[in-house]
Amino acid sequence: MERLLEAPLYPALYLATLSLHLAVISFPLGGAVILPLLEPARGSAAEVLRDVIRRPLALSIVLAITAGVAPLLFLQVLYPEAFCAAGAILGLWRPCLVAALAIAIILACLVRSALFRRWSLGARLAVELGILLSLGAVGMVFTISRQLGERADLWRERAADADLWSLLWSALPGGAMVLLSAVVGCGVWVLWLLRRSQKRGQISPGERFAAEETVLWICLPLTLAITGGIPLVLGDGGAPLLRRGLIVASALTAVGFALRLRRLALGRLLATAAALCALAGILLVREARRVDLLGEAFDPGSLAAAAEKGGIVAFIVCTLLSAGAIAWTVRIALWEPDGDTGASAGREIS
Amino acid sequence: MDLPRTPPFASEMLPPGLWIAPLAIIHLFLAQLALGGGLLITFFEWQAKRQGEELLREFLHRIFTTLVLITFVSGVICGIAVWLTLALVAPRGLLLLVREFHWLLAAAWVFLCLQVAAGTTYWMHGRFLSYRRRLAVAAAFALAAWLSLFWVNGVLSFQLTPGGWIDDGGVWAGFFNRTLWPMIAGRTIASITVAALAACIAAHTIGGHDPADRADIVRAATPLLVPLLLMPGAAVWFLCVARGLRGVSVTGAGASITVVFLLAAGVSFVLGGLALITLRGRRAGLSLPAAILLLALAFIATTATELLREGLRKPFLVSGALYSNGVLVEEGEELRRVGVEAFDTWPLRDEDHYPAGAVRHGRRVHRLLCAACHAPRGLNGLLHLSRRWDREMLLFNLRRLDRLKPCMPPFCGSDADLEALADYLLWLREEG
Repeated sequence: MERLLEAPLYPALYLATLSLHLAVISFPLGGAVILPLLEPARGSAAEVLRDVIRRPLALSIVLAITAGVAPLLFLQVLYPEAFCAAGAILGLWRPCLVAALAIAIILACLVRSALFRRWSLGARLAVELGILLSLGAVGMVFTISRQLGERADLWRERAADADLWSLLWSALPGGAMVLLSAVVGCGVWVLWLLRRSQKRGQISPGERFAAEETVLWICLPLTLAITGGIPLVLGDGGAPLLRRGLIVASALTAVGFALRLRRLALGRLLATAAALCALAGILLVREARRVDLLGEAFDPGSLAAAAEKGGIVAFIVCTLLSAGAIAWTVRIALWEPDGDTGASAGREIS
Repeated sequence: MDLPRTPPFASEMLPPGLWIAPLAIIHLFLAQLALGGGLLITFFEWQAKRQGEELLREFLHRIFTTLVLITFVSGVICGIAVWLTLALVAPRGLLLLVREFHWLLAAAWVFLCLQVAAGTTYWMHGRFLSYRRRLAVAAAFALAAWLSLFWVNGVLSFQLTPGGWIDDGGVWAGFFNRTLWPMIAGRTIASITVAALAACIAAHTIGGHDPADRADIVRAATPLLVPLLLMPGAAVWFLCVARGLRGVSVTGAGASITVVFLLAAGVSFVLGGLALITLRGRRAGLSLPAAILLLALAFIATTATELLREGLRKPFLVSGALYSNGVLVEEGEELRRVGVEAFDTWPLRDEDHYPAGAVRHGRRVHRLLCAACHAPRGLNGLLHLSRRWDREMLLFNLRRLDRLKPCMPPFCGSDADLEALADYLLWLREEG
């Protein structure tokens, strides 16, 4: 952890932008898990929930891709050798994930169309499983890439023989944890989206609470499982205080979900805040472990030199200008009447 | 300068350098379409506001998803594909650019975020906004797209003409290099042109408009072809400031570069001529076949221009600093002295496939010095390129490749490396 703090600017920027990316990607990734589960279900709660997840699915993938560009950039500043070594070992697998992303976006556009609703259950399930597989493949490739990148001791061996199956096998626990966490993250997003839909008069309070109950009964046990799984997955990684904080944050997310099941507004806020803290915690623990594993391959001195390269003022000015303009557009998006992102847009796409 | 020595990547059939070209060209064309689309919607919104024209507003609403959002999203995805492929085939080039320009690339990213935010707002809420606010959101989208282009283009033009950066002039000396502004002018003009042509095609193909409405929309888009008349000026400007680069002078140009240059110039000339004819007969408007033809020509011109830019840069990834095979110019001497095996210590992936000794050594030399552009076999493969050379000829030519072909970097290996590479090529020939 101390080595990470020797040049704190880049780790801070990397973690901030990665948190943003992961917070956004949790919606489509978790949604891609929830949608096939809900597909056979009947009743208005399932219908409302499906609609709430399907409508912004494509847009959320696009937002996640855009948010993912900056962490990719800062990752190369922080760990240049690790990034390229992992890329060379994985070969074409890493560039090919872009095709999976494109497929996921096309399928996500399809599920929000009116045409999709008229398809048979099997066809709908196939499309939704296609989204899950595509996004899951992207997640797995990045998980493998990260794990490879942090094991400098394995680079030489893997450069001679990549042995992708063993890499995939060793990345499975991490990948499963990412998927479960994404479902929980999606659950938090859904709570807010249902609230917004009710406020706009798109659903009744009864429909909202029925849909909330469904999603909470999916997310609550998963959150408890994640809380229990954290010590197993992390082992001795990260500072003890940080590890304990992570477990507490995860447990508080479960408490928030339980409170929301009792229809307390505080539950949604608590679950959101705790989930964000858990996300920040896991990222910090992960980076601290990566720096420990990389040893000499991580050089804080080169980061200090990189920070002195010109352009930081331009970046700050552009960020301020852009943030102001984004806040203005978000204000319009939140306060203006809802546009045609729902059924009418679906009809157009179909 | 110190760049990490990452594991080199070698392909057996298709030279990795060729993977980048189609991806980059498609990315560029889509990005230009998205930028031009932003400028087009701003122009149409402004016209609609001035003339109270509902037709244009309705048309914008119908084409926005296809013309702007889809092209923008596809452009971003292609951009990421280019980036990840570059990390594989030219890792040291990418690391150099990231190390020097990460703040400026991050600045481009924040404008990309603004583009997404403004585009989404326009798409979701545009119909419900006041004229003025709608115009402002459209302008924010277009401005963000252009500023994003500005930062990225600076880094691309730096690769061609690094300017004072070479003499340790710093990031800004490299960014504000002499080809920055002509390239930005050219790309902006190209963006406006392709968007205007795409709008004409959309006007003809989208249902629900009567012929008079279609003609009105096409006429409204036609003024956006006017900047195309400035393209020859931008091209001449670029060639003037790029003077001194290999290929810009007629004597130093390779045949392929000359062909690509003539293609780019010829297609641009035809495109400009047709646009001029269209502008003169503005009342008749641009027909669907003519718009499709012009858009196809614009794509060819974009492709040829990009190939020309790549060709002019060779044998470098960053002119004067980094060769196209990822060897720094300043590393050349050391490499010649210590040899490839001391420089590239990464194991071979398929080591048992090669007979021990000189052939294995030669494979290593190929991987470090040649594999970025030449696979052993297949398109542009070494086996094909050297098929008529015997051993003596191989040694003679490989040693002075940079003098035989100006687009090739000098051979940066020891005498033993040269012999080993010749052995490897002869072994490949025996293997068939």
